Amino acid sequence: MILACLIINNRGKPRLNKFYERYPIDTQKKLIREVYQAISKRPPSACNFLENAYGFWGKGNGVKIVYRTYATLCFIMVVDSAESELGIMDLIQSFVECLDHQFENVCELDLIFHSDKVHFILDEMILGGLVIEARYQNILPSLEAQDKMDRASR
Amino acid sequence: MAFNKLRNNVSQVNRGTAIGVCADLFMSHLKDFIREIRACKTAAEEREVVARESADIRTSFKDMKCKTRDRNMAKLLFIHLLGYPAYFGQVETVNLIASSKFHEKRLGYLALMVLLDEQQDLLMLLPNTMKTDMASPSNFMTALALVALGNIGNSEMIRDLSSELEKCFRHSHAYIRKKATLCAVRAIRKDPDVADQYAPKSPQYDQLVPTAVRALKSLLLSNYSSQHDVAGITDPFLQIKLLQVMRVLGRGNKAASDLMNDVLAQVATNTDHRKNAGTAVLYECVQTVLSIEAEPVRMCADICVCCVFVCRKEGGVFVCYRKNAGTAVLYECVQTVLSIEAEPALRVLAVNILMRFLARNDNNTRYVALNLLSKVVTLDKPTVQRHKKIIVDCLNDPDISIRRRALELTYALVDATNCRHLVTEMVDYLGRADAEFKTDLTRKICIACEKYAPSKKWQLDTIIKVLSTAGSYVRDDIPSALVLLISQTPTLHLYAAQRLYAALYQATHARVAAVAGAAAPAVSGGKQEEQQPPEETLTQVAIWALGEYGDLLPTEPFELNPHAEGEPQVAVGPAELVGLLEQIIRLPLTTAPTRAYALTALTKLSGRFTDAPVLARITDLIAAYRTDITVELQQRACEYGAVLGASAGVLRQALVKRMPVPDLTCPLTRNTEEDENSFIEQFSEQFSE
Repeated sequence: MILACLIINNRGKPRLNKFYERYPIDTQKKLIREVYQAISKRPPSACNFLENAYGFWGKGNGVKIVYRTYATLCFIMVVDSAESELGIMDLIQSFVECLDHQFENVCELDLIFHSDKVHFILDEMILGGLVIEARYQNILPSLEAQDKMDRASR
Repeated sequence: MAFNKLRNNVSQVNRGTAIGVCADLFMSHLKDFIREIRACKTAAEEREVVARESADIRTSFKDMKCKTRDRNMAKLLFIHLLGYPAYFGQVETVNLIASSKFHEKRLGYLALMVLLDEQQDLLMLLPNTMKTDMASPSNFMTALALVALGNIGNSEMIRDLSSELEKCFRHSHAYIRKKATLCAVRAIRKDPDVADQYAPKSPQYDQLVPTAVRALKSLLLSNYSSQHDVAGITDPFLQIKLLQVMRVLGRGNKAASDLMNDVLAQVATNTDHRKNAGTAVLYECVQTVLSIEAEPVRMCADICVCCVFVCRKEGGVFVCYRKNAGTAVLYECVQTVLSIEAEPALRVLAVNILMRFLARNDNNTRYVALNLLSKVVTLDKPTVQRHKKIIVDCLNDPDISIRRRALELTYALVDATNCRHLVTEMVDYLGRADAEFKTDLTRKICIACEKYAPSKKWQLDTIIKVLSTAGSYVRDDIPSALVLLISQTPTLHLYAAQRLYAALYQATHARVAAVAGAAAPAVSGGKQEEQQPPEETLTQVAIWALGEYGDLLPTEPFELNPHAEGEPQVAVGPAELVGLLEQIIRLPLTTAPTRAYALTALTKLSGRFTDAPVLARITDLIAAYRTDITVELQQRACEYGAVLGASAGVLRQALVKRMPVPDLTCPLTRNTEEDENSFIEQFSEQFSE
């Protein structure tokens, strides 16, 4: 199961945080900080997986951080041991491709000014911590249709 | 790649922000607000802007007729993302969800998932609205409610909405059915009692085998409407999950394994490993093959062909992300081969694939390979054993994830045949290891020594080395294990005394030099005094050993530094020995417990030596501590003084006799039985996943 999906920029500012398990707000902040600290120290050549993430996700219950950096943004998935690490890498790639199609050559500013849309895309891909759809060709039409309804109702 | 235009945009936006700054008289638009925040130079300025905007938003929420509720909520979400409190918007989310307008409802559900969690009472207000939404003719309305239910639904909500959820199962659109299924997964997770409602009672898992096999086969064979492919691999996510299911079903089940053979071979041969999605599937496949009772020969050949091909062709492909799916599959494939009951030959092959992974430059692949090898090692040690050189090399990797895995693996590989080599590597590594590894590592080295050491002498040398490299990281059981080892092995008494004398001699001289160096310019020793010096543990063990067996030293000359060539051998007489102990006692950095050890050692030695000057020196040294400020030392000095005094007579000889050999087992291996079991359990748990 996916426990959280985060996007953090290279200065440690969160651009998206989505938790699929219940954590109080203070814990969420702490988790984000810890994940960022753990990842920002790693050189680009290091592998994209980090085990036994510090702190609240608990030691020893097989929690892994799978992350991937694109320019200034780091996409992070915190998963439990039931997920295949490499599969999650694919999921991050799919997510980024999806964002790229939605915003046409996506950049950090798109995520800042349209954080609601980023959430909508993520909700189409992951539901309750499980992957529901991973291909942008299937996600974008339904998003498009919802945006149309959105505009019509204004 | 995708974010390249970023830098230009940032500067443009920064220039354009001045417009937004004075817009506080009216509720500004979301974009203006974000620009205003981004234009803030200091954190205090940002807090001020957020506080002002929060106040405005809070006021506007009270006005039910406000036209810009959705916009205000969007701003609130941004405020939340920045980490400021946004709880006052929680009630407003419920209002927004109840709205008839789609855009308000959509944002309302989003805010609900962001601002609330499953434990808030506010959620009780929702089921009625959600019921209407789930029954709505619009698929997207239904989807919104389902997503919210799947993400933050608690057991009460799920119970209230169960009839609607069941209707969604029969919905004509797969879009809704999929979401409803995942909601049911959450329902069962939150409240296992409802499982009967969504899942068949006492399912026959065996019947699932043909279904899984058929599903996987159809994924492989059909020239699919490429609806789900990732980089040319048909739905790798589904393939991976199917392979994982097979692993669970096939373990220990010959009939089921037979059914899977064909399709696994197909996956192994047909998957394009040059793509990441393909490798991911192959990986799962190998894993499955390893874990079920696969038909050996054919699978073996197929996977061999495929893997050799993979390894030869692939080269640096893994670095390129688009190809990652291929690795992922291959990885899972190996995992499957490992967890099913496969032929040994097949396992050897799987291990060989992993070793090729390991030799790659790409860290992801190496990590994954090490991860798998640590599972293989419990099943098939000899095969992994052959590749120990590569694994040991990984200890020097710059990446901590890889080092951690390699270390675990190295420890798992140690046995009687290679103990000397691997443990030496581990001791070498101890010097450069990360601080967080050290405690665990010292323990592992000592356990490995205890179990597999070729000789007691070698074990002694190794533990002394561990203590001198990482003395401050060891736990108490390691020094006691060393003491036990020495006292239980009479042949080692002299050797232990010699080695520990040498170690103590070097440590003390290093300290004397450090003190002299520090004392000259200024009193900068304060920092050092706070923490225990690293060789403290070693010093205490050495002092104990010299007290017990120091009298053997004069019988034979030895080298103080066995590693340096041509070092002259020295004979250590009673005077030198007492001199060294005196030096330690007098060093300012020596701690009180160490001094106490030294006093005891001196008292013991007094019974073994007969030279009058040496005995007089011992008496003087002990007498000096009769007025010490530490109560413990003072008491010991007084008592030992009485023992040394003339009145003790015969009693003294009995008191300072050698300690009887304790009849104990090593404190390290006493718990290892449990450790070992939990180790294996842990792995078998991982397998079953």
